Amino acid sequence: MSGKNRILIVEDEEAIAKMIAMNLEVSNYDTEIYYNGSEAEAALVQDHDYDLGLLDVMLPGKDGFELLGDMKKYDIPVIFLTAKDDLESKIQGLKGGAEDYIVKPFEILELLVRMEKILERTNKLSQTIKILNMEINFEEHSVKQNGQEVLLKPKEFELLCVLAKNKNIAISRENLLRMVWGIEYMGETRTVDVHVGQLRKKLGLSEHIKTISKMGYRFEE
Amino acid sequence: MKLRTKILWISCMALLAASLLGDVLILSITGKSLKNEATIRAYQNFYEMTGELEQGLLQKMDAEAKPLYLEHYFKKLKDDYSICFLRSGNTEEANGIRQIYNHTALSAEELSQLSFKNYEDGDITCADYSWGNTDYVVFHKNIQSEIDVYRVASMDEVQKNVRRLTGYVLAITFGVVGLTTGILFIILRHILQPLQELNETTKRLAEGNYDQRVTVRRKDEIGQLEESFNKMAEAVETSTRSLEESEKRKTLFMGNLTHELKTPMTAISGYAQTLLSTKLSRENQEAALLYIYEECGRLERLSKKMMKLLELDQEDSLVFTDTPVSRLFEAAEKSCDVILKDKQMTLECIEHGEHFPMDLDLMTDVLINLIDNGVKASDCGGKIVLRAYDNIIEVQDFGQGIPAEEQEKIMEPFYMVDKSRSRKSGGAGLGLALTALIAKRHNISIQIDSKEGNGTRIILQFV
Repeated sequence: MSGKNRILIVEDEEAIAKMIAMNLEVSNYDTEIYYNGSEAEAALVQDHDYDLGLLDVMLPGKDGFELLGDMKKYDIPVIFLTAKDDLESKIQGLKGGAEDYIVKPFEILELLVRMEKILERTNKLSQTIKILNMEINFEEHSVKQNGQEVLLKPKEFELLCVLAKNKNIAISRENLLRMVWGIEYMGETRTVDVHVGQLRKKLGLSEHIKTISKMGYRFEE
Repeated sequence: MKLRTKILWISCMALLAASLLGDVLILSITGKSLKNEATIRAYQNFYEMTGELEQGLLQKMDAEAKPLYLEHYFKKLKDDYSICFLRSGNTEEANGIRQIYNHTALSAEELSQLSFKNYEDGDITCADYSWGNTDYVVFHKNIQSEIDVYRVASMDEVQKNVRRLTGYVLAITFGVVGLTTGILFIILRHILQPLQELNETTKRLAEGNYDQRVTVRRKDEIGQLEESFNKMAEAVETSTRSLEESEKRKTLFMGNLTHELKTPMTAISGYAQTLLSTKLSRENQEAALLYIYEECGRLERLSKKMMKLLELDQEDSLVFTDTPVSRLFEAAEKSCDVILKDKQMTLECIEHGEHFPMDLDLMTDVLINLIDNGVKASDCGGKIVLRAYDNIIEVQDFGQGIPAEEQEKIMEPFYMVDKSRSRKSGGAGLGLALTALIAKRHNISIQIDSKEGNGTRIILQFV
């Protein structure tokens, strides 16, 4: 599969829906927003070609739990994004077949990572990313720049993957450490700087992997 | 059960003891009088007999004739109770006493050992003697100082009578006590039955079944106790229910408040994060900032309303001044000008110089809230009517109306009939709760007259 993943957002708060859409779009997703459960249900009949649904629980019209049935019918994995953080709702949501349950307020990066995991699980994530003059193949762990393979150390490759997958979004050194080296890794954030330096050098990305003060690194096209 | 047994035992024992005491008294008195009677009868017999003897002996002065006469007399008498001794100078017999007649088991010696006492005032003496189980009374008379006449009177009959009587009395006593105990048992059960029921009900009440009551069947003290118990249970139920309800309301309020806070917080923190970490176009950056600004405004409105609710809840004295309704309508109209114009709506004020005691600012808030709701429920170009008459102010719109099942709930904090609509208009769902509280402080009753599709009339009635 290649091309952008299409995400359905059903959220009655315009501000939050737009915020999610804004972030997803810069991270290479297509989004469709509905502010009402029944409207979303009606629209799904016509167009249900989505890779993932982000549903609020408390919705006018039809609530998120009810909407879950429709989503399953069209085989669309669902993440609940809701202010309801009681155990009953979480159990109801997850037992009902949702892939994940995120309580508001949430971190954008967390949402992106969880979405990516689900898309990976459901095989809806493309195995290659074409970015700038590079082609990154996740399966083969290889990077081709202008058709020429560039040799990267395993951690360098993973770091590139994380940055490329979440392009346009700054990721802190701590989060990069966690995402690439794992939570158990007790290394210093200097490690990240060193690896970023290597990537910039090997792939000539000093223009594109930007240092954002206080926020970390951001991959920009 | 225990109390009943205790009462039964104590009263049964007391009754038995009292009866037995009475029995003993009666029996001893009856026994004595029976014995006396028998003694007197025997005494009379003896008296007659000795009299006859004396009479007979008067003619027989001869020393030889006396024993003969006596022997003859007693042989003729031929009873088993009389004894006769003759004292003679003759020493052939022991102690010089000659036994003329004796059919009893008593010997002269035994007789002499008895202690005789004077009976009545005469010269007849008597003594008590018992042999085996039988009591005897022995009478004695000395005639002409040489003849000793005894007669033994058996009390056997008397004793038999007393024994029979004792049997009867005891049988009657036990019968009566048994019967009384039985009756007492039934009465006690009847009396204590409600207590047991009361106990069971109390236990169930203590377990949390507050709707338990006892049936009051009597008008005595126990009946009164049952009545009081029911009253108490009623009070417990009411206060428990109201406590539970207020607790539930509080939890709901807090839950709603958290939710209402969370939504703008999510948006604000999300946009701030996005602005900081995401590469956004110029327009998107502006849009994000605008959302942050709007959501902050929403938080501010929410906190203002919350503060007002809290203040109103605590403030103990509001100053009400007699204010003409025209001023109230003016103030409301001025404040609602913008929202009315936005939807090209008109406000119609109808009043006839009414005036009510009120806090003008608070009442203006009430009208603004109600007009605002009316505007939100109406289509563009409609109208809202403010009307005053008698002791009533009403706000009428011709919008979509409130479904009957929602009408009770709309005064609750954070309740919204149409969630998406209120959110879009920036409401938090506190307006009507605030209105209800202000109305309560003004002693105003609120009625809702609404039909779906026919508009809503909110009636504020000064009580």
